[in-house]
Amino acid sequence: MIAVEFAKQIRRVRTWVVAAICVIIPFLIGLGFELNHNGNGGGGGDAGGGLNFVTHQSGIVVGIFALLFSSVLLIPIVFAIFAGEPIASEARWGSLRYLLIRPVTRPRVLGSKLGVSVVLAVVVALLIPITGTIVGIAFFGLHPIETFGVASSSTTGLLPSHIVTFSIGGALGRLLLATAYTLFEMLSVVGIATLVGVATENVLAAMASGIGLYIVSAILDALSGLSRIHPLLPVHYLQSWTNLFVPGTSLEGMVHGVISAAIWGVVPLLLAFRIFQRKDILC
Amino acid sequence: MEATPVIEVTGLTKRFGAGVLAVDDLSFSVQRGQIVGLLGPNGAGKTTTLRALLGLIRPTGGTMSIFGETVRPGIAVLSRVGALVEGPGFVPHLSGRRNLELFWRAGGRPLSESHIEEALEISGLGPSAERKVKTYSHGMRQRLGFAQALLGKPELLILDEPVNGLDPRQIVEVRESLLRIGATGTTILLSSHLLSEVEHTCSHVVVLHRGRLMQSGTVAEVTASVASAYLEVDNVDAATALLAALPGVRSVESSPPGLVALLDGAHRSDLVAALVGAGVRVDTVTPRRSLEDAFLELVGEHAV
Repeated sequence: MIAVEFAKQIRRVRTWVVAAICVIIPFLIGLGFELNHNGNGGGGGDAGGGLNFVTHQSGIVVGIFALLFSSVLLIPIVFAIFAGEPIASEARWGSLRYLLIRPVTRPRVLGSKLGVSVVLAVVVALLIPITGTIVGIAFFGLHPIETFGVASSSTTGLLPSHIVTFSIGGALGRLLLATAYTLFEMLSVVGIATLVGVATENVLAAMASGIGLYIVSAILDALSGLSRIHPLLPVHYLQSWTNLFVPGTSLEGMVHGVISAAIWGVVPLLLAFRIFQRKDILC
Repeated sequence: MEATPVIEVTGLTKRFGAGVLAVDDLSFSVQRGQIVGLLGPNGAGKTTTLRALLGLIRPTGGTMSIFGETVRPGIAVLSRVGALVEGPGFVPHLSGRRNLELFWRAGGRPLSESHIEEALEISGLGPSAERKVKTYSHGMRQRLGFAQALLGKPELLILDEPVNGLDPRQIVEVRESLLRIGATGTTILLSSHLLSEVEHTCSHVVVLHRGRLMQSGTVAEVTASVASAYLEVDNVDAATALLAALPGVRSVESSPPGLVALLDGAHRSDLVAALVGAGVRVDTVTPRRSLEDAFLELVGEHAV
């Protein structure tokens, strides 16, 4: 069943288009840093997410920024496409009913489709930091990275203070952890897109709801008046991993993020399986 | 002791939402080796019944079994069933052959048991089987769907309108395939709104209308249950008016060069007497017991 599903998805044009985009974007980021380097000699500073590197002209840093820039929209889109589509596509093609008159239980059908989709989405999304790092190394070489650490102070908050150096291995390890964390956060997108895909059998609705969840909650997360509900939003902890690269900050956000993503993922997924099990297949 | 029926449907009822009853307290059974036609106009509940039998929809009431096993989604006994439900459905970016391979492998049995070459042979697709399905015509998809239903030589075939969208030559081919497959002992349940289809192919018929069972039995039994007469006369208009007013005649329809009267108590001799008495010359009187008449009569009673 899993092999069958894999055979169906791997030959799809959309799989390869999305993969191509995930290679091109980090390449452009690397190129941007390179052009910046040629223009004004380059410099570090806060380019977003609280990251504060001494210089962006460093191999691994490009990978880190590729992950950071993509995590807001590109990676959620990738997961929404892969998770929302499988059931809805089969329904549209009229092949879903033929899949379900085989001696295979419905949870297994949905589980196989979901499993293959998530694996493909992870592989495609991994292209982003991997390409970013490779492009970065090609442009700037492979060096240890330097960043400003912060010292916490009860009166002024966190302030950049001293420079900290991560070894190549340490930096790559942290990037790997950051990537794994970001992909885990996508559970919420997978959950919602799967749920809507199963419930409506509509490809566009499924993808849009996965991405929409992110856009809406990003907007809500930006409204300081709603700060009390911010911890409940699926995007709130999305970039908490940046603290991995800011010595002196707490990683508590990542723990909250894992819990939040697990809940945002598991609840809709359970609901999706339940709906699918009881659903009348009329398409 | 009688053998377990291949299909046993008891009191099947399906209501969609709070609305219409698509199938209303339907019971019938299919014995091994029978070719049964589920006959009814569009909207009679044929497809709903077939979908319920395959575990695609949950019945509101009643029970169904296939090979003695209660129907639930994805039950193991489905490995012995081939089906075509409301038109074919394929993954468009893969070839016809690849679609059949994946369909078969999803059932968990090795490809060597699928008899895929024979199925493709019957489909008559030839080299087109290697092309992507999105390039297929409607008729080609229908034939590939038929081939898919035949994979693995199933003991039971459930076919929803199997000749839909085919041209006359292909209809004859499918009909011949069905008779050939039926002759090997395969049980077939097919639905059709075409009487001629059922009359040509089936041994038994289940007549459905508005979700209710109208009648079931052998094609001969159902046909014989309705009396009718075919007449050729010199003045069709006068005869039509005359017969329509006669007690014991349900309806009169033109059937060039003559007319057909569906009878409800009147005997054919009564018709002749009335016509001759009114000065209409009668050239031919024959009983006409086609399934079409039976069908019209059964369904006509309830038509709005």
